Amino acid sequence: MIIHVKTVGTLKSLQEGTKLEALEVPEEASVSQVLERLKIRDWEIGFVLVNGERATMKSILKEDDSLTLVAPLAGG
Amino acid sequence: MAGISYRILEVNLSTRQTRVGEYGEEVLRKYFGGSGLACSILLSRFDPAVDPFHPDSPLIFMTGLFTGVPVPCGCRISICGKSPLGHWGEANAGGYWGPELKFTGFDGLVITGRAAEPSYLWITAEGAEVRSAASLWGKGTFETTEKLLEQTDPKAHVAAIGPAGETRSFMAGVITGGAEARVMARTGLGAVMGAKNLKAIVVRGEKKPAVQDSKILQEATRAFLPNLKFVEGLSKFGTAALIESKEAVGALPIKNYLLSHWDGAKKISGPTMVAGYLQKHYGCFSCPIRCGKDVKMDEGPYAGTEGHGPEYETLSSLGSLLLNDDLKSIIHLNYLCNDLGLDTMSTGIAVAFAIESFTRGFLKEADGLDLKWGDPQAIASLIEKIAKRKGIGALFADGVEKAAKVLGRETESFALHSKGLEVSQSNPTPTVSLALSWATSNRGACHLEGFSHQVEGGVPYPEAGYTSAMPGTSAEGRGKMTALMQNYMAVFNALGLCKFLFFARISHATLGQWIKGLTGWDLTSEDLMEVGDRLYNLKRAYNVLMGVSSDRDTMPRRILEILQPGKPVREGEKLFLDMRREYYEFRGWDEKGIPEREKLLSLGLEEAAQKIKNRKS
Repeated sequence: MIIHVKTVGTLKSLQEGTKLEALEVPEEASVSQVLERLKIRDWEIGFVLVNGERATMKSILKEDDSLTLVAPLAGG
Repeated sequence: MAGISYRILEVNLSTRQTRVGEYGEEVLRKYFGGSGLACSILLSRFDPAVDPFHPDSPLIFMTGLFTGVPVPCGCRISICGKSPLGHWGEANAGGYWGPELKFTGFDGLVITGRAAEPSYLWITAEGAEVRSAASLWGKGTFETTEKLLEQTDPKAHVAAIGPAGETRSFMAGVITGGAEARVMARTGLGAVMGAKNLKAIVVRGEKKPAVQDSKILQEATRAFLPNLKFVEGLSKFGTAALIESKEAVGALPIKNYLLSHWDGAKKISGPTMVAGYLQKHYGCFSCPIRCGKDVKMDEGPYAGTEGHGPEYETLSSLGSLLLNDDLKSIIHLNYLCNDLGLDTMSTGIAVAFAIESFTRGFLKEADGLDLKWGDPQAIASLIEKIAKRKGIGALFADGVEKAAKVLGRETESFALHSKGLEVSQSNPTPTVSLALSWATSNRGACHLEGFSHQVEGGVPYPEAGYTSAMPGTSAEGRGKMTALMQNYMAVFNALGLCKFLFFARISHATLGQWIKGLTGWDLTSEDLMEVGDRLYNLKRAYNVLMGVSSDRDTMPRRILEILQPGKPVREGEKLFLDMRREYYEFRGWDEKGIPEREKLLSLGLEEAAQKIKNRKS
């Protein structure tokens, strides 16, 4: 299935503001499986949003979901 | 024992007399130094009923255990006293002034009295000298710093007040480092310095703190250094890196906390500032993170502005909070506040309150200023008036709680403060414990006293059992977590260490090894947390003596509204009160927020317990 991924903030593994319009992942993939696929380590992530709503690493994705990965809000 | 001299220099500005007070290792073990040690002095020696501007009210500068010690981030200094806000006052800064004070051979300063004329203190290993600062009164902190370095020693370090401290604004801070400002900003202690006719304190010393076992210290440091990968974002972009992340999750304060999303965030973000204006990265004493970003503007209306770039808090308070997406203007407004000696966080909230009051008709006239959202010129004019207490500025110079009392009860709902201290910059909707942390912070609505929202947002604290983000908005567990984080942050403060080490995921074990290397003490994780609990309760006890109780552990209506957005405000209020109830119970405080006698005695705070008992009887 296809999902859409956006990163916000200063993630170490991906460029600032990377936008993946279409990423193919297995059916019922979890957020952590997507992170593994993108080689993003879990400590790089503070918040996860799915379709704008707060989600967790265990959240299961479905076709056409928008996944937003936000760096930890450390510092203020 | 190494690392500390056990000597505190006391100066009476009225009599110009000085003396050296000494204390013992048992005191240091109990409080570790910093603002905890300062509070113990304040509580045992000074009458809390005295007005903060009275000459008898002391101003205390205190280094922490590791201030000036070459471990990562051993740079912090605390300034403490009774705040003009009427309760415990405390502000902290990094930079180089604190370490330099330690190098004079004095761990801290206790300043009382009032100088007959504007003065500054010149402090070396020989002691303190009171010198005239008559020619500097009215000057900004940058010029003051330059002149005093010329008059003393170019290698010295200066802590100065600006016009805001002289006019006793409750939002006045103390600026170290001149234009490369590191600011002891919060709770208006710059005004207490101004009331003492004390323009600045210049320090110069060469006594490096001795270390008990440098091998232990170095090995523990070496093992910790790989953790710096966790704070690379801070190294590259400073705390400004947070702007876009916070906006994405609805945590960026926008338009006085009325909105949760804003298109302007990218324009004022860390990467934008670094790409356009970075001159160099700045690190405080012994800091490998180097989150400071010195900036320079060569052209345009603010050409010539050069110095410390705005931090996240300031980009928000003078940017998104005011719908100001002009980054150049924010850099300049930050520069202006530092030169005037104002706390940028409180100032931004006061300006937002002024604009909202004006646009909604509660404030009819503003000296001809057309106060509207996103107008940098009007913001700059109002800030100048606030610092100099001129015209309409006088109404806002003492913060939003006082201003709302003048403008009417309806404005109290959007006067964003707790205990008179303006809230820091984070919308608590995604991390609701922040509202509790603000309300129960000893100095008022401060995020740094607790950092609970960081744990709620996913920064791990495994020693306390927090390994991943806390989703949802249930009150359960948030009261306890907030108390534990406040205790832990009090430990960082007393150790003189920057709290950003927490983001680098420093462990209790590493802190324990550092303490062992420096002092020879063997402390467990439980010992560390007991000291934190003691420090927090000590400051609470001091506040109780000044009448603080649950009546002051509150949040304004707007914050309660956004705790549960889209629901009636009573839902947000219920969540807040449920969290607070759990918090009081976990702390061992009664339902009014007064520490139980047994709790204080269990922490060795007999004197505080006795004073509270005497107050009741």
